[in-house]
Parts: sequence; structure tokens; C-alpha cells
Amino acid sequence: MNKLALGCTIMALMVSNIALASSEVQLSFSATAEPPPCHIQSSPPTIDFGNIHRNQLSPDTATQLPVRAFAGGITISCEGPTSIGLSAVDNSSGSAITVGNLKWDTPATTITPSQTDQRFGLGMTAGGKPIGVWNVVFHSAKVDGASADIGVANNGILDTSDTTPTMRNNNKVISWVINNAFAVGEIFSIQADAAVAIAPIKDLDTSSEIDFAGSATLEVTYL
Amino acid sequence: MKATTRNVKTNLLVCLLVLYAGATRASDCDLTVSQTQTNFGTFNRGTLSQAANGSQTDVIGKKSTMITVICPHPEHISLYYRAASNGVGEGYQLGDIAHVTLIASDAQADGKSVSLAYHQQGGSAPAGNANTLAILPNIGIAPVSDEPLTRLTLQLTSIAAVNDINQHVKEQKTLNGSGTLEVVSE
Repeated sequence: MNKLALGCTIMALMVSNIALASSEVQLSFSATAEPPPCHIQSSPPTIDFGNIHRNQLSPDTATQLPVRAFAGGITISCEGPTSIGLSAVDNSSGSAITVGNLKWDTPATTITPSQTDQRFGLGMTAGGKPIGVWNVVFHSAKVDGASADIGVANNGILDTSDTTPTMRNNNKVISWVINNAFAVGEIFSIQADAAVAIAPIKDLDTSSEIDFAGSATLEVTYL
Repeated sequence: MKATTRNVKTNLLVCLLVLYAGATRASDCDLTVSQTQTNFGTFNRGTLSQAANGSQTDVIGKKSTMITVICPHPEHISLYYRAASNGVGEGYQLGDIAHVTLIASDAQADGKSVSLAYHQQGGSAPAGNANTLAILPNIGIAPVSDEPLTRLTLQLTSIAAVNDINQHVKEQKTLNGSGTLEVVSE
């Protein structure tokens, strides 16, 4: 009886296998999704602060120079609707002074020495002393012509507890926000005003001319 | 002894049922698909929006392949597509953000154009009549013909589309989907 059952099972399997081998075909489908390419249409020119005489600088505290706007701001054009932000890399990383605030009147913003993620460097003197600190405040954000708020994205998520519209050097991303969500659009524009503060004279060797230059590389991040 | 006889009968019945089930489900016909692997290429929301005249569309791409079924003797057959997971609407899942719809059309049975109709496995006769039919999950399509056939050809069009046109893609990713096309003899 057991043999009968076994024989029956084997027969069934054989019939089944022979039929399956010829009457089924596996189909597979694939596609690759990617964000729509975005291009920086206009990026701001260099701001030249000209010559600054040592008499214009404080001996014991950092001196902030007048806030200057980057002419034209930044415009990014994407080939399809998407949400983006800007992350920044300090090209003079590690050279920001650790004293003195950076202040903007509009929008009212202050960066203190402890906010190291918002302090970008101006390089070192020949003697290895940090020259100053700088950052920008973003404002007048627009998406496809409509006004947008400015938010900060942390690991791809809008951080509603952080609303300071400044560049970050810790991978946080400045983003365009509408109705408390990342704005969707194709043309993103934003204005940027730079604030620069120079180290106290006592911390600099001012017997000869000091050149300072700060720069940051902005990268478009998809959100 | 009496009990043994009853058990043998029971086993024979089970055996016959198993064999019967095997014969109705599977087919000895040979199924060939000219393109078993379909790649819709790389897309983004920009290419989606350009696909139609100015208006945005959700279609990633469309590909066609030929299905040929050859049977050793005349049979009534139907085709089924079985996938692990179904997608949006009439589609089958393609990755986590898209789906593929399969359309059968231009069927020819033994060289003659025939319509297609849906066919429920083990159910009633084919219902409906169309030259073009979407292949639905676990519902067969069959040529509308009283005569059994030995050769069936038809075109299979795969249309890939995103589930949500507002879906954000933050980084490049590959979307995959698969299933089994099966020919079943009545």
C-alpha cells in the first residue's frame, strides 16, 4: 500500500514536472529611477571686501565687516519637478575663529562662537593663526516664482526645531519649504547675504598684509 | 483485510485526483516568449513629464514581445500570469514605486486572427471578446474559438508606470519585478 502511494506520488510529480518545464516562462522587468537632473543656472560672484586697515579692527574682540549681498543670488533649474536643498562644504575647514558673533539685521540672525556648524573659515595667517569667520544668511527663497520659506533638513527630514537660514558645515541642508513641507518645483532661487568677522588684532600678526579668502562649495541635495 | 481494501481504493482515488488535477492545470504545449527580460531603462520625473505633449504622464516606458504557444495536438488553452505581488490597478509590482501592466493583443490561432477573452481557471467558458486584453492577476486569457488549436501567437505589451506621479526619488535605484507566464490546457 505504501508502495502504491509512493508510485502514485512519483507519477504525479513526473507528469507535473514534464508539463511545467515546457509550459511556463519566467518574465522579469526592470527600470532605474533617478532624481531629475538639476543644474545651477547662476551662482554668485565673489564678494571683494577690499583693503581693511588695522585701525578698522578691534584689538581685543572680533570685528564684523558690513554685511554684503551676493549679487543675483543662486538659481537652480531642474529638468522635472522635485524637491531640493543645498548642503555646504567649508573649503577652509578648521580655520574659523572661535570668538565673536556673526550678525545680520534682516532676517535677524546671530551665530555665536559655540555654533561651530555655522562658522566657516577664512584661512590662516603665515603664522598659523585663524583669520576670521564667515557665513551667509539666505532669504527671498522662491520656487517656480512663488515665495517659499527656508527650512533646514537633517538626514532628509525637515527639522522644524531649526529654522536659522544659514549655511551649515555638518551635512544639514538648507531647503525650500512651502506649507511646512519641502517645496516641489523646477526653478529654485534664493538670495544670500554674507557676514565676515576678523579676529582680534591681538590674535593676528599685522606687521604685514594678510590676505583672507573664504569659500564654500554648495551641493544640490534631493529631498 | 476489508480495511486494507478500502485503503487501497482510497489511495487510488487520491492518485487519480492528483493526476487529474495535474492534467488540467499544466499543459504539454510549448510556450516561447521572444523577450523574457524587459528593461525600461532609466527615468526621472523630467522624462515622465516629457512623455506626453506637454502634459505630465506616469508612463515610464512601453515594450512589446511575442508569445508563441505550440501544442503537439489540438487543444483549448489559456494563458495565465502569476506574480508574487500585484501592483496598482491592473498592474504587477515593479519595485516599490512603480507597476507593470501586461496587455495581450493581435492573437492568431493557427494563422487566423482571433479575439481574446478572460477565462477563469476551472470555471465557466470565456467571457467577453476583444482584440486587446489586459492580463489580470490569476485570470486567464484565451482565444475565442470553438476549435482547438495547435499554434497560438500573440503580442504582449508591457507598460511600466509610476504608482504616484508625485513620488520623490532621492537617489538612483533599480526597480525589479517578475512573474511566471503559464499556458494551461483545458
